[in-house]
Amino acid sequence: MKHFIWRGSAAVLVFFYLLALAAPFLSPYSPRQQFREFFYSPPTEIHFRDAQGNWHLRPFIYDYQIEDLTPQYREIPNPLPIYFLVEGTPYRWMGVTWRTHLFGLKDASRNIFLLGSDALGRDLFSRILHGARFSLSIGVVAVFLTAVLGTLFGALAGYFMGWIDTLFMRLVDMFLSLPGLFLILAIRAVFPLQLRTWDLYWVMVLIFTLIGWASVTRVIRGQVASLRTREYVLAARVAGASHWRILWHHILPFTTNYLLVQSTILIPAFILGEVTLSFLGVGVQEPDASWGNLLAAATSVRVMTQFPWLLSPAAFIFLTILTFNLIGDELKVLDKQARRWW
Amino acid sequence: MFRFVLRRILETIPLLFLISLLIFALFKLIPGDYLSEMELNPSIPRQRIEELRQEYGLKQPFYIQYFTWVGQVLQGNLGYSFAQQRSAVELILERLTNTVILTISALALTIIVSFPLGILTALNPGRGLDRLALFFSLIGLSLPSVLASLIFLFFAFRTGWFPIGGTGGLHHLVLPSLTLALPTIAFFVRNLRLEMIDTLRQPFVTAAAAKGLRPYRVVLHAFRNAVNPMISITGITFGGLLSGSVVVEKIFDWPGLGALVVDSILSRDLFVVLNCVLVSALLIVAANLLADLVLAWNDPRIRYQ
Repeated sequence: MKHFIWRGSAAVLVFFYLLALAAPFLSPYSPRQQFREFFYSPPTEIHFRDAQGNWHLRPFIYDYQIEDLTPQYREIPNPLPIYFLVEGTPYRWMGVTWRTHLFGLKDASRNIFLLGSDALGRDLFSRILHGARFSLSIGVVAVFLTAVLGTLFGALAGYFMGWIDTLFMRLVDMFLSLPGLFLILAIRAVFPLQLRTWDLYWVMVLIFTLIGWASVTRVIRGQVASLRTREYVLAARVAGASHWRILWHHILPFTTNYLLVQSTILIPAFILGEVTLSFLGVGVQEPDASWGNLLAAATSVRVMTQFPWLLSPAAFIFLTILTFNLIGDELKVLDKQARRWW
Repeated sequence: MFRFVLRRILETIPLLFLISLLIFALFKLIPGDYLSEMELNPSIPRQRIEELRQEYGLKQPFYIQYFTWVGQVLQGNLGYSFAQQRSAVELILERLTNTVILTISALALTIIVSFPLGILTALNPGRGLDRLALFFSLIGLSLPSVLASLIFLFFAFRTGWFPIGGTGGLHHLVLPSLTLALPTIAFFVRNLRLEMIDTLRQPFVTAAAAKGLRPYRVVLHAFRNAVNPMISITGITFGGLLSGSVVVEKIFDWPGLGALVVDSILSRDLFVVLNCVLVSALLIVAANLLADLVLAWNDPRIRYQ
């Protein structure tokens, strides 16, 4: 049961990251493509059985029409088969321009909206997949930088002690006593409000690294400081190993467990940071999509009750955070077991 | 005790100095200054903006500006909000009061719910209640305030039991503080449960039980020890609550400090942002100080260090 839970979580995460990687291929439309005549369209139902009760191997949808001037749609008995590997809007992937999408309709003027469409008639499914690229990758990139920075500073402080240690630990104390989101917002305020999406990406990575390094530095410093007094380190020193060699080969390998556990805490925290910033309107801006600004479109009670499918990014966010937490719990137990041996 | 309190208070002064310096330097990195936004408005003459710059001392060197700022803040002058056209002190104080009400009630809610739950689950680990609590705490930890707020908003709208936003009366406070408290409750239950399980295994608990103390007294003995780490955590959690309050305030239309920061960033009212961040940092430092004092009161070992 236990293995099932954390293997299942890992599978879900791998699946999400693959979705993000192959987003342009998996999504039937481009995230910016608007079908204005189909705004606030509910999720399209996929059928295998027609009105006469006959089963079809090829799934199909029913065409639908808008009832004039209201976002209310009526199905019309005109089945449209779904085709796989269809030609659609071109996109660039791995430096090559492609036209093939996993699924879609032959008739370009009719639409399939797996998760419905938004106020401008854009396909929410496509937007969620494209948004995942931004939202999911930012956590990993920022955690990588945080880990590198935290390990470097922590190793310097813990190994050499003295004034370096005092300096870094004062800084760490200061950063840890600042209120997280307020500091994030303050740093965000330093940059212009309107940024191109990929510039914003690096701004966010910078912000999250600035926020995250302190806690990592503190723990790594503690571990290094306790390991450096071990006899085997002394033996290595006597044998003529340089400080860098000792750090790299004899001390830092012990910190990888902690870094792994910590990244399962920090990655979801950073993903959430992006969601929060975009949600508050200081992150990813329209027309580009991220999970945060997709959710921001569903904030008003009117939208939420009339077009509940706009809340579907919430499910993706929740599942991502949940699975990271489950994996983190498992890793914590493993780390505790490993710790008994040293 | 008095010496401890004094020492602990004096320790925060250099920290506050560094924090204020960092925040101030951060805002000096912004290209332009607090009045650059005015230059975009063609109806304000350049001459006037230059005069204002002179008046607000924006042409002086960094360190003079910094000390002027600190001096003014110490005198209770937080400047002027150009976006809202009013004194920033009133504005920030008003918003601060709301945020403090929100966070304190969330904290109270957390303690009321999580302490009994943490103890009960630790007494019977692996049983029904324990599993249920662990399950819900996992959900609570994975449900960010953005999502929890939306869920509660939806709930409030559907049932009509609670207002969906704004201030006034206890009625308005229920949903925002519950949303804010949710992840903290989950976090507290998990931590207190682990602490209690560890403490209940200690020899002094066995001794207390062997001496024939009634069960609830034994648990009380254990609790007083297990709660110490929780007191430190409470201080740190306060920062988390403040962060969470930004989102909750925006969604529930609660006019607090977090909402003010976001609105001020969007209207480029940067001096207000600067002072809000400073005030929030002060709050955190104060919360940590308070937590340390409570800890010292509860645990004599720390007092006599």
